[in-house]
Order: sequence, then C-alpha cells, then structure tokens
Amino acid sequence: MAGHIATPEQRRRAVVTGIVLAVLAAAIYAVVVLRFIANT
Amino acid sequence: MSATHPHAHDHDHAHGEAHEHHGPPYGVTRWLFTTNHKDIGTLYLWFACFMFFTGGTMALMIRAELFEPGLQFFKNPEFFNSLTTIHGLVMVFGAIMPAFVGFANWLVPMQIGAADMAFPRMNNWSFWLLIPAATLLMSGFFMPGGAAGSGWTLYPPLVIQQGIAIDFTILAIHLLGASSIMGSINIITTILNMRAPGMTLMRMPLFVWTWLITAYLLIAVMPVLAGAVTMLLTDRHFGTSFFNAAGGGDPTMFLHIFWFFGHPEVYIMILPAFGIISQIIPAFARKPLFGYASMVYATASIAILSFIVWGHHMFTVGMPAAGNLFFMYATMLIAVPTGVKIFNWISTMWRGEMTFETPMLFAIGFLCLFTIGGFSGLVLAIVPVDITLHNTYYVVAHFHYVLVSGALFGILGGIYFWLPKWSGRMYNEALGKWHFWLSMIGFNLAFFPQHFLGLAGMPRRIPDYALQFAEWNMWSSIGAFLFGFSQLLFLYNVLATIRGGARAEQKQWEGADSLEWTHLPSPVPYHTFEVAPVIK
Repeated sequence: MAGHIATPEQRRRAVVTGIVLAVLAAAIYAVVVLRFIANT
Repeated sequence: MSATHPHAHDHDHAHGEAHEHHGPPYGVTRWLFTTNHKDIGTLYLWFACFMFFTGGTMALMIRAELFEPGLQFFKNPEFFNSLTTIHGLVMVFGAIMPAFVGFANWLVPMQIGAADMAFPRMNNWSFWLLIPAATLLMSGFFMPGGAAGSGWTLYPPLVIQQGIAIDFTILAIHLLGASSIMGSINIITTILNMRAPGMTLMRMPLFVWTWLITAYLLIAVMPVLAGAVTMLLTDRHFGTSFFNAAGGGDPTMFLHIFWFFGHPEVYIMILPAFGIISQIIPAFARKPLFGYASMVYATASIAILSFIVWGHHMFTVGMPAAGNLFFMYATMLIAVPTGVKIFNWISTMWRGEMTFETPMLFAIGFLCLFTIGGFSGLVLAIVPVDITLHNTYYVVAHFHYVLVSGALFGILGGIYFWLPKWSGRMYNEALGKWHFWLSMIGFNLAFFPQHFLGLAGMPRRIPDYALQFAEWNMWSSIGAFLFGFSQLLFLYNVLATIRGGARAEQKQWEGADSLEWTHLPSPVPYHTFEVAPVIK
C-alpha cells in the first residue's frame, strides 16, 4: 500500500492549472522586458 | 470542522505495511531524487537553516565592525558593502523564503488531506536549483573585485560598474526566481486541485490560505524581478542602456521595477508567518481563531494593496507631489487589514485558556514586535518624515522588526510547534524558553537603538561613523551577538530533539485541530495518507 494517489481528474486539472500559471509567469516576464525594449 | 478516516481501525496495520514495503530509500539518493513532500520540506528547512547561519555570521561581522567608530577589521570598505549586500540577499532569498517553502511542503498536503504535492518531480527540481544559486551568490567573495556590493536592491549605476560577481549574482537571482515560481505553481495547483473531499476553501487552515495568496504574489512579481535583472545584464554586457544614464537610460526606472517586485516581496516574507501565527495562537488559547473569514479577506487585501505602494521606497527620487501623496495614503491603507489581523489574534487570546509553551511565546513575541515594525512603517510612509529618514538606520531598524521579529519569529515558533509532528519527538521546553527570552532581549537590544541612530541621522551601509553614534552602536552590536549566539541554543535543541527527544503524542498540543494533529500519527508516516480523509 503506497498511500492514496491523485485521481485522473485531479491530475488533469492539476496539469491545466500548472500550465496556465507557468504561461502567466512567462507572460509577465516578457511584458516587462519587451515593454522596455520597445521603448529603447 | 471534523475529519473522519474511512479505515481508522486499519490505520496502524496499514502504516506498518507502508513502512515495511514503501518506506524511504536509504542514503544520498533518497535526498537527491526524492519526490516526497516531507523529504523536500526537510531539505528546504535545513538549507534555510544553513543559509540563516551563513547570513547571520555576515551580520555579526558587520556588527563587529560597527562596534566602535573607525575601521577595525575591514581595511577595504568595499568588503563591508559586499557583506551588507550578500547578508540581505542570503537572508531574503536563502533563509526566509526557503524556510517558508519548507513549511509549505511539509504542511500544505497534510492540512488539505492530499497525498503529496501536485508535481512531485518539479518539487525536487525547485529545491535543487537552490544549491547552484547559493553557490553562485557566495562565490563572489572569491572573485576579483569581491562579491556584489550594491546593496540587495542592486541599484544602477553602481551595479553596472562593479565586477564579475554581479553577473554571478544576476544568474543566482534568475535561478532563485525560477525555483520560487516552480514552487508557487506547485503550491497553488496542489491547493486548488488536491484537497480531500469536504475540504472546501473556507475550511482550509489559515496557513494554507496565506500560502495560496503568497504563491500568487510570487508568480506575479518574481518574473518582474527577473526582467529587471535581465536588463541589468544586457546593460552590462550587450550594449543596451535601459538603466545606464551614460547611454541615455534611466536608473530611476530600475527603482520603479525593482520595488514593484520588492514591496510584494515583503509580504511574501510575512504572509506565511501570519499563517503560522494563526495556527499557533488558537492552539494555545484553546479557542477557534477569531474572525476566520475576515482573516482570509484581510490577507488577500494586504496582497492586493502591496502592488500599489512601491513608490514609498523612493520618495526621495523626485516623483511629483501627487505621486508621493498617492503612495503615502495607499501605504497607510495597509494598516487597516493588518490591524484586522492583529485584533483578531488578540481576540482569539481573549478569555482563552492560555498556556505559554515556546511556540506561543514566539507567537506573542511576534505580535508585539511586528506591531512595532508596522508602526515604524507608518512613520516612514509619511512623505516629509521619510525624506528625512530615508537611508538612515531608522529604516534598518524598521525592516528588521518586520523581517526578524516578524518572519523569523514566525518561523522559529512554527518549528517548535510542528517539530513534534515532524520528528515524532518533543523538544526541550526549558531550552526553548531560554532561546525565546535570549532572542527577545538580544533582538531588541540590537535593533531598538537603531531607531535612535536613524533619528540622529546615521546613514546605513557605512563601515565607519561619527563619534556621536558610538554608544548606541556599541549596544546594538552587543545585542546582535547575544541574539546570534542564542540561535545556537535553537540549533542544539532541534538536533537533540531529533536524536533523542521524548516521544511526542499524535496530538501534542491540546488545542491544535488541523488534519495533521487530528488524523496523522507523530512522526507522520512516509506516505502521508493511506486513504484520503473525508472532512465533515
């Protein structure tokens, strides 16, 4: 017995949440840098 | 809220099997390749402990130099600058933040009834990125020109002119940021998706709530810092002039970007401590937390307001009066939700059956001293006052009251609170109380006089000073050494507990009511929940 594991539905929702958050972080980084590159 | 276990009668038997067949692997590989949230939490906490003592040693070197006027130990004042810079970076990114991530790793899955974090492999990677980052950060001391000496804020133009160590620092910050973002993604995803049946958002322990909000803050602002330091790097090596006035750039713009990250960062370092305190006080007052919902909304309000107050760090750069006024009033507004939290904690204690074990002492110490730090923050929020006090020791006193007696006391109280659960053993209470009182006396002796020094005009980040500042600096240094050495008591107590403390009970604290106390034995088995708990 290795402990309860996440259900397939939980895993699917986790992957979606993770991707959304990662894209959000990357977008913020890009906006900061690109905004100033565009103004330079 | 109560939790039931569907197979409570099978519990011990099930754990026996789990230990036999699925216990932790042995040796170095256990720690290198672990995906277990408790192992990774332990790694984070020991890493933070190592960095805390490293940064603390630097602090004591600083205070030794400032014990009396003149240059005692560091004939090269640039080394002093490097010490203040790396002390700040190490404490912020190496000690406080990883310690809270360690708490999150240990506690979030247990408190929401999850088996582990949502992305266990990414969790492992988040931690191990910290080792090269810390190495890069510290390696500057062995490089030509010494370690970064621009202050932890990395202001241009100084940071553009300094040696190669700045590049290593920038890379370290990128790695630390990547680690924090991955950790935050993991925490948010775990909380939103992996809760046990019945564990609704408004039933979650306050610690989980504060970390959920903190993780959102991290995802919002760490990329901003990463963007700023990337631009510093291109200014240094690729011919751009974002912040380099010599090429038409604007150093003030760096301040705006940095503090857009930097002020939420302050709350990133304090909100999880609020969560820890919100667990400790009800446990030792033996009463439910007063105003749970208002605590959640106050935490969210503080986080939102933290995005619109960055300008109070730069009242002296020449912003328009309307800008200064906006940032002044917005900053003062934060006192409202913070006050809600303070009064709720006090109301929780009111007429409670209180006892004063070490975690409660640290929680009450936190409450008293963090409030002092909050009030000096209000003083600094007043534009004309800040213009006088900017860059003085008053600021140093203020943020140490927030980050040491705030964040660090929260961490220390939390470790005493959960150590019996984590290790299965009880710490030495007498030693814990000695640690608290020596820390309390040492801390106040070290930092309260710095208010006087700042009000008298002593600037920060200088290795030498005028004679009129001598006496309070001497007391401050004595206090710092007392505070520093009293932390060795803590280290000894933790090690002695792990090696041979008395057996802890499942519910070591009578008033503790979150899942890890009601539902899991001490120590917690390697696989946290054999069966998902059902919350009723």
